[in-house]
Amino acid sequence: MGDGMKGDLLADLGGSPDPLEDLNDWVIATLPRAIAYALSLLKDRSLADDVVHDCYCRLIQKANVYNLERDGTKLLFRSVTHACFNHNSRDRFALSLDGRGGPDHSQGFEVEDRRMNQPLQPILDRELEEAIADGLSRLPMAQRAALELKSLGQSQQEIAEALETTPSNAGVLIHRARQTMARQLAPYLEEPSR
Amino acid sequence: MNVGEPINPQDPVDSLVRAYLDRQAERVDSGPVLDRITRSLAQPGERRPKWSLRRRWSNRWTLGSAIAAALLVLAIGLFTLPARPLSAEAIVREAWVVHASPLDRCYRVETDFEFTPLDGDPKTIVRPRQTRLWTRGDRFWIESEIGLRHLNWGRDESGELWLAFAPRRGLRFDPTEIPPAIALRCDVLSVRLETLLGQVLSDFDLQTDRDEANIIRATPKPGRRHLLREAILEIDPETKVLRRLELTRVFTNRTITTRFHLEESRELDDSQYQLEGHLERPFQINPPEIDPQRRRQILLRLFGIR
Repeated sequence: MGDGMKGDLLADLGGSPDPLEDLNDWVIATLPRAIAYALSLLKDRSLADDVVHDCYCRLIQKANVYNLERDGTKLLFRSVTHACFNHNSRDRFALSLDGRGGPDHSQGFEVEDRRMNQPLQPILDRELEEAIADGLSRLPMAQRAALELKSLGQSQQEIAEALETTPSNAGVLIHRARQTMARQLAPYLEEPSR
Repeated sequence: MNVGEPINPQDPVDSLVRAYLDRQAERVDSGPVLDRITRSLAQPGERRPKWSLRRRWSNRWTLGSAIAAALLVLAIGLFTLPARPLSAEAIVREAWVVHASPLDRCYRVETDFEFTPLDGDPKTIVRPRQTRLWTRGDRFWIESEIGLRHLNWGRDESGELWLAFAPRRGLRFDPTEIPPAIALRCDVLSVRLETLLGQVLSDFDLQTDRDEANIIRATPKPGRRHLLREAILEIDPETKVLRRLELTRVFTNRTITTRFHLEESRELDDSQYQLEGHLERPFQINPPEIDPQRRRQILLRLFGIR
C-alpha cells in the first residue's frame, strides 16, 4: 500500500483536517493485523475481509462517540472478535453460508526471502509457521482468540471484554491455549536459537 | 493496546504466535479492504443516479392508474364541501391517489412478534426488529441489522427474493421456492400502499382519532374476513402521504404488529431493487456449495422461522 493511499482515504472521509486524519493513519496501521487476526479465526479470507470492513466502518462512523485514537485498536479487536464468534455460532448464515472449514491456504505459506544468504532459514521458518498455523487451527475458537489477543498485547481484562467472559476465565483460556501450543511447538521451543 | 507493542518476553508461545501473526499481517494485501472501507464511508454523501421522469411514466399501467385515481378524486371533490372537515374516507382516498404515483419511499420498519399461546397463558414473547424498507409497487428491498451483520435483501420485479449476505456473494430464490408464509410476509413488506388503501376503503370501518383528524383507525367491517386485524394510518395533512402505518395481523396463533414510519421519498435507481445492485464485482450468485436444503434453511432464518 503506497503513501498515496493515506491521502485518498482522508479525502474520501471528508477531506478536512479533522480528527479523521489521525484515524486515517490508524486504519492503515492496524488494517493488516486486523485482517490477519480475523483470517486466523475464520480461516476464510473473503469472510475475514467482510468482517474487518464492517468493523472499521462501524467504528469510524462512531468516531464522535468513541475516542478511537486512544481506544480504537482495543475496540477494533473486540469488534472483530465478536463478529467472528457471531459468524461461527450465533449468526453463521449471515456471514458464511457455505460452512467452509480448514485452514485457508490461499495465502500460501511463502516466507519472504529476506535471508538468501542463509538457504536453510526460509525452510525452517516455513516449517515453524506451518506448525504454529496447525496448532492454532486445532485450538477451540475461544482459546485461539484469547491467545492471539494476548500475543498482540491485550490485557486479560480486555480479552475478557472481547470474549464476553470474566477475566479469570479469559486467563484460563489463555493458559490452556499456551499449554496446547507448547506441546505442539515443543521441538521449536526447546531450541531457543530458532 | 498498541500495534507493535512488545509482549511479555517470558512466554515463548506468545512470542511465536505474535511473530506468526506479524508475518501474516505483512503478507496481507489490505488495499482492497481499505478501498472498500473508503467507499462505504463515502457512500452517504454520494448522489445516486437520478431516475428519469420519462422512464418513470413509461409504464402505461401505472400512468393509467394515476390518471384514473386523479379523476376519482376530482369526482369526489365535486361532491365534497370544502369548508367541512374531511371524513376519514376522504382523507384515505386522497392518500390513495398520492400513493398511486410510482415514487420510491423509504420506511423505517419495526416488527413485534407477540406470541399468545392457545391455552391462554399470559406469557408473551416480543422480538423487536428494526429495518429500513425501500418500496416501489410490488418491489422492495430492505436494509436489515441482524446481530453485528448488515444485510440487504429484497424482492425484484420478477418476484424473485434475493439476499446479499456478503459484499460479493448473494442468493436468489425463485418464487416457487418461497413458502406461502414467507410470500405473505413479503406482500406485507412490499407495502403496496395503493392496494392496501383500496382494501381499507372497501372492507374496513374508518374512524378518525378524536384529537388528531389525520390519524385514522381502520377495523374490518362486520362479516368481512381479512388478514389484518387493525390498521392505524397517519396521513400528512399537507402532502397526503402516509406518514405512519401500523398493521396488526394474526398469523397462526401469533399477533404480529408491523409499524412503518416514512423516512424519505425520492427516486432510486432500478438496480437498487435487484441483487446485483448490492454486490461488488466480481460477485458470485447462488454459490454451488449452498445446497437446496441450506437455501431453505437460510430463507426461513431470514424471516425468523427456526
